[in-house]
Amino acid sequence: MTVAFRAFFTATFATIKRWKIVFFLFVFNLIFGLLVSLPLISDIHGLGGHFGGLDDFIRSFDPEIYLDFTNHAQSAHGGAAFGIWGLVYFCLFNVLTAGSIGILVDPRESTTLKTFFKACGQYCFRFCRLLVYYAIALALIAWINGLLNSFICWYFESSQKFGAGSEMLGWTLFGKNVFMLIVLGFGLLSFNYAKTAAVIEDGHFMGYYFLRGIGFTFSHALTTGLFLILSLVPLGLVVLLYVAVRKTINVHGSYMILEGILPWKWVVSGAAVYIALAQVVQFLVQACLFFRMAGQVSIFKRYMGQSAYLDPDLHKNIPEAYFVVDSPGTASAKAKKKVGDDKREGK
Amino acid sequence: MVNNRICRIVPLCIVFLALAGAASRAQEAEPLSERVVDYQIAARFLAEERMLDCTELVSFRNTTGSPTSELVFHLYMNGFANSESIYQKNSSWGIDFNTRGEPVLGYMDIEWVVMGDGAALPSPAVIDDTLMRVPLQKPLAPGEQVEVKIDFSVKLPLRILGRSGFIGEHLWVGQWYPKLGVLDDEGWIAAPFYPRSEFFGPFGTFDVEITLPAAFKVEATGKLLDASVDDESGIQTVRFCAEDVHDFAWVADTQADVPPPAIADNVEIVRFSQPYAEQKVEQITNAVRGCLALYADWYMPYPYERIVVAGAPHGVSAGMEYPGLINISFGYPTHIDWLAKKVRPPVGVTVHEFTHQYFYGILASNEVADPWIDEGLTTYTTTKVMEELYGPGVNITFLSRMEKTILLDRFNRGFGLPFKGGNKCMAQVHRFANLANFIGYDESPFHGSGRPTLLGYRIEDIDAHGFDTHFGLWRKEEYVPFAYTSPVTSAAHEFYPGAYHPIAYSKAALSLETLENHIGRDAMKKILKSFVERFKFKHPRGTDLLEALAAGAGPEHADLVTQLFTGTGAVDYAVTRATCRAKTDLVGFATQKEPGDEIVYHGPVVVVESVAESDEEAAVEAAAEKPAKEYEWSVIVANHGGVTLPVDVEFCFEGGRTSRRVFDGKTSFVRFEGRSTDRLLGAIVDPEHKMALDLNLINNSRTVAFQKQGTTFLSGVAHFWTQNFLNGFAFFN
Repeated sequence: MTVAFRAFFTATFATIKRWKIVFFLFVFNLIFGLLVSLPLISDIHGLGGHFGGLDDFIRSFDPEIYLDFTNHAQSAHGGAAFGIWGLVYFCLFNVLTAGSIGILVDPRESTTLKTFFKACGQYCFRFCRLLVYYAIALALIAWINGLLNSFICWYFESSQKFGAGSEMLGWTLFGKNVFMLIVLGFGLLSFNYAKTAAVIEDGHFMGYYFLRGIGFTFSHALTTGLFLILSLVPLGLVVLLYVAVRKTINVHGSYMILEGILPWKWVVSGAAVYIALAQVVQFLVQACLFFRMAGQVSIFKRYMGQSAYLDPDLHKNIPEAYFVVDSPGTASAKAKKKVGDDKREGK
Repeated sequence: MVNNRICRIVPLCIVFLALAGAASRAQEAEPLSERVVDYQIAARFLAEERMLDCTELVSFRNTTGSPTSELVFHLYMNGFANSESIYQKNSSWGIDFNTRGEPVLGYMDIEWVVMGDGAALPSPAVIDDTLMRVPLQKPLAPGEQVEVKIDFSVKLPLRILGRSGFIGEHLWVGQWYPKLGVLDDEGWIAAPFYPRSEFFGPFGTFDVEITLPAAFKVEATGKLLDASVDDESGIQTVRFCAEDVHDFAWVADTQADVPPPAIADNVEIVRFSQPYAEQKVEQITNAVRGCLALYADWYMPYPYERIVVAGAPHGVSAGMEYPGLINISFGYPTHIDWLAKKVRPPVGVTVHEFTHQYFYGILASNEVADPWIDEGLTTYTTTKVMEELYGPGVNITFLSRMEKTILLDRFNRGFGLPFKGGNKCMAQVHRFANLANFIGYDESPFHGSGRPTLLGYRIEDIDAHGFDTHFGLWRKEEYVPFAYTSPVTSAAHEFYPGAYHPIAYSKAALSLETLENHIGRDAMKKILKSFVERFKFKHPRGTDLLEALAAGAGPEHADLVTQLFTGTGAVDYAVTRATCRAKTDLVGFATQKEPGDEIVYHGPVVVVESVAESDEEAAVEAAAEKPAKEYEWSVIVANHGGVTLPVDVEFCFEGGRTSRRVFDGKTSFVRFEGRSTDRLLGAIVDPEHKMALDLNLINNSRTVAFQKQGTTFLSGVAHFWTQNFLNGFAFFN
């Protein structure tokens, strides 16, 4: 348990230290989100740009207007496209986690984007292969869950206690769902620790690392589980922050920013304040996701560092990923400079 | 000896006195209806076999002006007999199977039909699907009466199917006996049982004796006359009697919770609840109380002594009405008590089914030929009752409501990936990835309002602050996709596939709402009250209601009534263009008839109107101060729907001035042009939103200027929630 709490603080500092990575993740999410939401934004401009009741709608939400919008906006019918973009984002983010883990395990404690991208590149295909195992695990979890659902509902119907059995059914499904949520959490942790192990050991056989992830998660179930729950705390705080601030924003109002502090008047609309809040929240969400990864890396390093498995000498054999290799241009410039220096020195 | 005599005489005297009392009461109470038919039915329920073993003695009086040579009975249960029945062949869902893979079937077996005195029929009765024609020995002249005795047995479906069946230990028995059709001057009105149609029968009296295991609690149409239990066999016999009704149904359950009846307006409200729904009893009772009070004012006092509100187990039957007995179902999970109490359902369905006591029960329209009468009036009235009982929707801040609404769809659909369609692979992905399916509510009875939900609740049901606009809103939601399909006045089996509910319920209710918006609430109340008064305990036809509406609304709205109820057109008015620019001096070449004439160019427009200038005095004052700037503006209003009704168009100017014109709707579009000293901001068609049927409110108005701030804000909201959607995927990395 101490390890989990210690990981919490380590992860906090690691996240603050690598704010540039968090910022990059935020920008990535911002741009990708903008691309995905473009058809929707286009519909909002097309249908709502000249809609006379727009101000009233924003002042007091009218569900009928919302219904009409969903009926007539082309993007509202593009649900499948949204789903596919979601899956694409899932795969890309998986690659980005390689960069996050890479920079977190970097023995030189690098904070540069260069190290981040190098790790992304080096582990891109390995992490994609790992996704296959993860997908199989998720499918297995879904299948087991489906079997349990069918069994519970079949038992309920067979017992023929339709009226009196309701409470029993409700709580049975509730219990099953708690159980399956834990199983799902372990699936997620196994995937994350598999990635961490693969990066630390620079391994190639992803099936092995997925099993390693499962093994590590189960052998340190209390610590890994506790940290997963702890990592949800900052995320919850971000949601609370959003809800609390959002309530105070008047979309139709205007706000004087840093009144009395700035030498000039900076007035912004309520809409702009809301959009700024939304993006601050997004930045914090990305920080929370990075924070979780940092904590998990910390836990893995702590346990593996103490075990015989992770040889202290391993740190000497720093994987190639963490050496900053010059780009061809820089290398040739350096080589030319070296030749010039040699000539000057008369070598 | 004396004792023996006394033993014999006393019971006889009691029976005699009881019969005499009953007879005198019957004489005292004047019949409310014509009482064309009298049923005496004895039914024995065999739980093991799921069978009802019955005898029916039916007496029919010919009240028409023509003789009839046959009696026509409905055998509704045969609709569930096999895959070839009209019911099954016309149903989109096919034969239902239970979890053990057994087909859910039911049937009615007619064992014997004889005349009431035991005489044989002149020729055998002819059974065709769900209809039976019984030939009479001689034509039944007007005013004459005939009796027929039928021995029959009924196999109940293994679940509630078409509003009848046996599930678990719950027995719901509707349309279970050979039921006479309605005879009028044109002959028998008796249609086969269609999947989407309901029922139609003559008014009369019922005396029904039911024998079943004592473990069952029983309720039925009418009132309980007698109940006895044979302790040895564990069998009970109950006898119910109902007068001036046109159908009889009963319900039995071993686990039902039956608290003492509540009394409101001299009516007993009998609660026959499922044990899981005990938190809802008070809510349901209050809803019925509210209806009783309101309908006494709006229509007429409830004419029967009792109303039974029976709860069916989880979602097995959404809701159904029978005279004096309504069935409601509550599919939400109730193991979390506070959540169950927080949601409003099944209040809505309770009000709806109770309203059917008037529009079906008292005004016994033909639900096959004119389903819109009972369903349309009931749906319309239900909305009015909900508004009265729960007040108008509260003003909810945009952001909180918007976010709830954005999340609503996802929550209601269980946050599943939106993969749909016939593709099996995608269906599997959808199935696996759908959280509602993941948590098991997809398979369980916790389907909320018929579709799987993440928490088993629809968000709007949990978040019902007062009466929310959602109640009327989902009517529009289901009507819009079927807007151009069938007229409201279609027969039940003639609707475009899938359009029965959206049109007969929702379009009919929205049409009534539209009419009310034009003539006013008081006028509408008056029309419906006089309609109820005129047709109570009778069989109104669709034309009767159309005539009543047209007459009550006045000749100026006659076209409105015709188009809304009998046409397939939809209402969709739109302002498609609104421009305004400062008037400039003429540039270029032009021809004037006379020097100094104003030059007017006519484009390809159907109508050109010029709206009045701004207030003359103000214009003069303004002109005195500085030369007034003049604006030229143009607005195009289009009629995209098929309904051609006049509609108001309002022009809004800078400074708050407004001006109105009427668009007759007869052309596909009209252009309004004008000049004014104040700038046009925009135009609105149907500014009071009288057309409740309008398919799209967004195009009802148009501003001249693009609304940058509003759209930027909404785009920001859309972007923010897209980012959150993507973060959901990132979380599982």
